[in-house]
Amino acid sequence: MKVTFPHMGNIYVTAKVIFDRLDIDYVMPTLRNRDALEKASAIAPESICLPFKIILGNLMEGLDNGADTVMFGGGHGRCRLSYFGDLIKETLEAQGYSFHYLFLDFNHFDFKEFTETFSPLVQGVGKIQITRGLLEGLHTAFAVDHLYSLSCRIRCREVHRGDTDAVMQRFEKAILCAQNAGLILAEMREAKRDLRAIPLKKDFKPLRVMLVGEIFSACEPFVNLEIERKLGNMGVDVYNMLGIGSWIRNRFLGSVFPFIARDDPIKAAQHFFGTDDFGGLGMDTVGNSSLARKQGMDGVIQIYPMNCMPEIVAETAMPFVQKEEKLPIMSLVVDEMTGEAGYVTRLEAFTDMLEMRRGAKVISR
Amino acid sequence: MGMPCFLGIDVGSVSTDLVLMDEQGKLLTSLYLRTRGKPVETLQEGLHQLGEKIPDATVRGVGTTGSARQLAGIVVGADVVKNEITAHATAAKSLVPDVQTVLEIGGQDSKIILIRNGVVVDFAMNTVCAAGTGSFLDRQAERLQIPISEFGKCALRAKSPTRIAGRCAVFAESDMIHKQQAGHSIEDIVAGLCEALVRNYLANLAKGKEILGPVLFQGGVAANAGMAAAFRRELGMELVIPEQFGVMGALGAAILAQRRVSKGLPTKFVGFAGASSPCKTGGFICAGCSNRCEVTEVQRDGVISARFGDRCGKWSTRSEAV
Repeated sequence: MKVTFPHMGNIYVTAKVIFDRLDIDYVMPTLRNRDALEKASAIAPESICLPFKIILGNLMEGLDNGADTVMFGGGHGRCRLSYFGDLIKETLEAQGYSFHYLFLDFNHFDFKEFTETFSPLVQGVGKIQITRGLLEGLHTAFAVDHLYSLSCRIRCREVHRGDTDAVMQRFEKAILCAQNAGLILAEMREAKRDLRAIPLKKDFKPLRVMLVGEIFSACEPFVNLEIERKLGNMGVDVYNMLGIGSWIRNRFLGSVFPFIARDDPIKAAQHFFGTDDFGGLGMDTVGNSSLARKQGMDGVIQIYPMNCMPEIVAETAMPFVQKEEKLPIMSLVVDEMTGEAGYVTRLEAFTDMLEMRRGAKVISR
Repeated sequence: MGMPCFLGIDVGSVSTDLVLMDEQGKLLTSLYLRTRGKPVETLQEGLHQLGEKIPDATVRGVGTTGSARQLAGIVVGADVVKNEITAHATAAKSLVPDVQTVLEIGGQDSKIILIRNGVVVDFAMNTVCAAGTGSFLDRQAERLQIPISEFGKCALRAKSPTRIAGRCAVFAESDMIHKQQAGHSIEDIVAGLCEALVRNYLANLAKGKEILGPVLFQGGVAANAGMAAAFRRELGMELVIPEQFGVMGALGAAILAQRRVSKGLPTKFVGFAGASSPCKTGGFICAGCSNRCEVTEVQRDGVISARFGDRCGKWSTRSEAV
């Protein structure tokens, strides 16, 4: 069996570690592949969201390059009313692909189902090795998220523009070339050391912006046009609330051990919506935004792909959050037609506005 | 030593505006040119005209804004390269210090800016829709064969404006054609269009925002009396249309340039003659990785003076060394 999987932000780092430890043969689609996106757009339902098209493009590329098994997961965020995974499968099959489809449904996580789905992949691998591989994968998911958020802390404060980008670029290249899990873990430690060694401005208080919205858009630089990097290079500290790590903690582990999940955002959002879920991560978007000021943020940016139903619902609450919290919130909608110039204009204008507000002490900190 | 002044440049999709402002913030002269898809040539032409108009001007600082601000900044050697929102807000505040709302409609985008106590507190820009912007009005004027300068006045002559679906430029156009084939007068259709676009603007951009006076209406579309009348009716408020409504972005850029150089920095301006040396712009798609960035290249006198548009810095950092 040869596996392929879609990209979402830095999830590939974790995937590489797990596949290597469990001796699973895999094909990794190219990162940020515009050709694959164009191919997928041609066959995907026309008005479907950008993440769907990118995932479809990744899987087609994987299958074209010799994979016979597709690994995909979903749940909790009820995208397309939980039909997202099935729609991916059906769209691929309609194109004549035949493959094993390993779908992990997190909505009703069941250990027995989990082992039944994935056991064909790990035949002949010892239980201890499997446990070790999965734990190392878990560690990687958290560590790589931590590394990226550290890069946001450093980038906005660096003395010499470009130091952080250079470290992260070298890191990404090294991960793509790394042949085994040990090397990947070593690269992560090295990148962290390199980031810590970057000279920083003293007594500089950068603007702090929280990033909320749809998880794929917020994590994937190909979709959000490298929003973390762009804002960071304008001297803004970005707190991305969406990442693999927080998703695993709140949604995946949280469904098994509810006490780990951080549910304050959901509680905060219930002030605006009398429900606990309206699909996707919409409740988190509203909740995190309404908690942002208390966490010392200067502003919030909501990002979501065009036609994303849960985030459109969430956006309707934003004027009220903004009024109550006296905190600026900007919503950005992206799709494959998004013009970079207009996007940058909005980011720059938002930053200028936050700076002006801070100067005039509109925000009580 | 000539008269010290500051140059503001706004290179937008439809128009290229240049202003010269003196040290007291007074507008000396302004130019409003059509970009016609050639930003660099238009800008150079504009600089040439400015240089002839005020030959004794000594430019102490230059600011650029608009969608081609980066390119324009390279061509002239700008001290400040700023986004349109900040530039428009700055200009609005300098003319009407107690302004609370700015409505701006340009060639390709429309914005609303809320200002309280002199601070921009909120703004919105049209996201995925071009309906209601200058280029759409331009196209409709052309289709109906009414000069764009007469388009707004034509709306004022309407007796009973028709209802046009202004949600989308494509649908608005087919709806206009439908009304025209049904026998409505041109005046009523044009007035209906203005109302539809204003409704669309207020529903899209001003949703949930508190519009307080004084309200400034600026940008190229402010020239359209029909649009202004529709705004007045829909808002139930008086609008201030500044005399310099068409060049507010450029004026803002000039003010920002003055602020920047007031910190004692010498200007990077290449001079009226320097800016007019032949510039060649071009682009290519980098094949270095699957990102396939579109890199833009500016050549001056056969030497590459700038490259931008790449994500990794492979081209933009290399051009700095040149």
